Amino acid sequence: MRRAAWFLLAPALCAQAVPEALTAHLKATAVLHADFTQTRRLAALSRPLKSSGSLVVSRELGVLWRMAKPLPLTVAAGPKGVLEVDAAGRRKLQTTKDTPMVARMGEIMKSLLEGRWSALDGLFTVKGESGRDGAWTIHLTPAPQTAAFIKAVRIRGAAFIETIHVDEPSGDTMDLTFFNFRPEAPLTAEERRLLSFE
Amino acid sequence: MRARGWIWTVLVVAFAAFAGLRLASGRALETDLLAMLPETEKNPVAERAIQTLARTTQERVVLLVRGADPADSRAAALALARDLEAAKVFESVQCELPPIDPLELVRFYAPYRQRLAAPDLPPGDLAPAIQARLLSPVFSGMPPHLDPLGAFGGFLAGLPFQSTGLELRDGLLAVQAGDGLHVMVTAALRGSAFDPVVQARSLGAVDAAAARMARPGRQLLRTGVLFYAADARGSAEREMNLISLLSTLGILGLFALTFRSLRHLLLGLACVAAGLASALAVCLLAYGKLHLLTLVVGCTVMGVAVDYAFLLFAHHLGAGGAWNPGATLRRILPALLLGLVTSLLGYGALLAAPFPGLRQIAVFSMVALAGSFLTVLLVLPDWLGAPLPPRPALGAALARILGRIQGWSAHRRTPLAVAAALALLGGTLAFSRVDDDVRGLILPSRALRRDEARIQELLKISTAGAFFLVEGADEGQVLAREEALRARMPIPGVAGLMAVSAFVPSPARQEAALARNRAALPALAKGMLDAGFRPEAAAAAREGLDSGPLTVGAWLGTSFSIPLRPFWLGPTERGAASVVLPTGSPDAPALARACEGLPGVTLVDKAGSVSRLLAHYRRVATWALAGAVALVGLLLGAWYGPRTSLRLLAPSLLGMLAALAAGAALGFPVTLFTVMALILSLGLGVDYTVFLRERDAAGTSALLGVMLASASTLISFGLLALSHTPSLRAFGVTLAAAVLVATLTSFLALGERA
Repeated sequence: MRRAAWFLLAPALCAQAVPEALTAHLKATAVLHADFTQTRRLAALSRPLKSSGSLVVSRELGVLWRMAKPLPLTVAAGPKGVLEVDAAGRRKLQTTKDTPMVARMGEIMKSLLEGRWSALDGLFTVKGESGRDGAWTIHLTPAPQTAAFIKAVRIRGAAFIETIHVDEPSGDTMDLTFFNFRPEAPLTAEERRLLSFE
Repeated sequence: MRARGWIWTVLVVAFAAFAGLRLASGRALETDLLAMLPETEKNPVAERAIQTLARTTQERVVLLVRGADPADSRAAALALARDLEAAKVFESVQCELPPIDPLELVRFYAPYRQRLAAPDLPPGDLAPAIQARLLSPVFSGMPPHLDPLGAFGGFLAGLPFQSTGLELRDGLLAVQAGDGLHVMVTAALRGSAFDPVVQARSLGAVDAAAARMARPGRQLLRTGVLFYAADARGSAEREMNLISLLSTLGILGLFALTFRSLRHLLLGLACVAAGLASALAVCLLAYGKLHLLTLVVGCTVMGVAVDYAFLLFAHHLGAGGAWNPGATLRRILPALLLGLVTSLLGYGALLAAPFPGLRQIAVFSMVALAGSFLTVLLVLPDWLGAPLPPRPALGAALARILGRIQGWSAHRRTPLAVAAALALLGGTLAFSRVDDDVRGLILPSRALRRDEARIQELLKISTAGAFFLVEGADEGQVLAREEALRARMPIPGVAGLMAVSAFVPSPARQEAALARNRAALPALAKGMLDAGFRPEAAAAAREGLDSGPLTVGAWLGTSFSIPLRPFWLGPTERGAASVVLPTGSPDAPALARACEGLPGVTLVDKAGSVSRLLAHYRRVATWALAGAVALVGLLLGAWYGPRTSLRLLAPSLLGMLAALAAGAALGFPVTLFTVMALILSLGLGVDYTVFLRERDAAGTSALLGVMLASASTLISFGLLALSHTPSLRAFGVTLAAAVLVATLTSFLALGERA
């Protein structure tokens, strides 16, 4: 689902994952902090759109996406819905109850948080291959109903998921890179507050 | 037997055959409660809306499955759905939702997007806001250059697909509650829930599937008109069987005690059977279908119908060697006829109320009485044969009773006792209360009510069945008036308003959005260029500004409009109309306040309307009762003179007071049915007093006849106390109490005369 696509996959950063042979070593981390850079190349845009920030994945509460550049934007997504806070501090909450589309996203999100790649069944076919030193690549091929939004997804990683590349049918692409993994750091009070939609 | 007798016999046999054939077909019974109730709405569109909505809900069965844990809930629901599907008796079974296709939504609404939503423009430069949308990972539904500020995405996301307590979980509709996860399974019936064949097949399939999925820790909640209709049919049939069996046994007992003659027994039963057969046949001919309640109440008419036979037999018994059928009949005919007329008047009063159900009961009872009467008149005398051997013991017993009663009447303390009894009556009457709520008339089984209450609590679906009817000159005005109503939210107790205008904005609103989008165009195009869009992409911001309006007709063609399609009533003789349904648990006054002052919006509350109508007719019936008392008084006065007429009327009046007091003591509220029972009791009470007044010289034949008649009436109406239907129970108890007291008092009055 276009821009949402990576977002659905982000929890896989700490997923136990299938194909198991490749991702069995992924740590079942309860909380993982990381930094990211994102590059989107859109046909409608005259230049690539770059952004960066940090990311928190909590197995219990969901995913917190905190963009810092080019402008501050916070998105918290959990089983109950999605909360957006823009640069001016305006909040927008979409609950899974109100909108079936957000509900569907929440469903997938929750399943992946529980380490069930099988939640992608019906949306994608999942195939994996292994590289050197525990590195691996997973290819997602969309099912017919997903194909209108996404052409292909490639996820690379080793100890953690490191890059995600998304091809869209329009020719638009998205690259996400994760680095500076901090699996030991606990949730701060503010992060917990945002993820609880408070 | 004379020719008239034979003609009547043949007619009754034909009636019986016709009624038997129709009833055996299984389709002659009406279980739909709505069919019993009067049309309440002055507005024909409102009546149509009630019918349309009733049909939609009637054809669905709703099941909620809870397992030991969420996974078990899922498994149980899927197993249940599979079994229901395999039974092949449902039109469709829904458990797993087909994956929601956001593309259909986007494809349908995208051409109209400039008319559906306009962005709130932040002050100053638009570029940061546009950039924020581009960078946000949240699904917007549209390519960014077609919806740069996400207004259209917001419209799509805000479509109220779920205004109930249900959530989508792993492709299933479910509710998380304190006691676990409840998963919903719905099935559409193949036909009407009131069709006995559909009923039996569907119910069988649900029961079988429920039995197969049953495990410890699992729970199945069910609701739907199907279960109510089947429950009503089942309990009515059980009650009918029980009451008619016990009535028959009671009457048999009375015959056995008094006459000790098989011939009398058979003839008495033949009278009752002839009355019932005529009543069934005439009602089936007149109405096509018999309502269940008619049958239950119809059983009680047995006790009255047998009265005429009792009276004749009592005279037969006392006649000794001097039995002359013709002469005896001529002698008691005035009493019989007067008795029939007063009873018919009593039941005829029921015809005055515009309740189809009550009218059918009245017609049934009147025909049954007339049928019995004709049988006594035309057939019985010729079959009675030689008089029975005299029963001196019986005569002596009756004489003793008569003597005892006369002793009481003559006692000097009797006026004191009567005064005390009246004071007690008055005191008890003070506890009477009036309740006209239609929901008290019919009470489904406790299990069904418990399931329904729980399901409504879980799904947050309104229990009241009240809805708003929105009317306007055309589609646009209806939509605008719906929007005015929706602007009244929050309404206390209302979780949401299901309305077509949430999916198709009114033309006025569409034009307003279009105007705002037109006005925003220059700033938006500049902001898009600043945010990095190519000029040709920025030019796309004006796409769709020339699109035609979104109409209800186009929306009705989509698959996601299915749940709301019945809400659009379309063109009517007064323009166009739609239904807006409140969810949650609102009360009628809150809803009435919510639509106050809104033109074209009316609250339709069938239960409330019927209750108000019941209250109105309870008051009308009370006046009718007073009128009936006056009429019967005049009738008796013309026959017997004023003094005697007062004496004949007094026992019935006392009986009515006593019945009201009994009802108050038992906690039954006074309803239209109570007043109707009082009207009937007037007819019966006067009958008995008149029978006694017309007694023969020996004084015992009429006394015996009246005791038998009164006893049989008491038995059959008293048996209604066994009914699960509160209205019938109150009806029976009121009538039985009134007749009992009226008969006892008429014995007292008799003594006084002697």
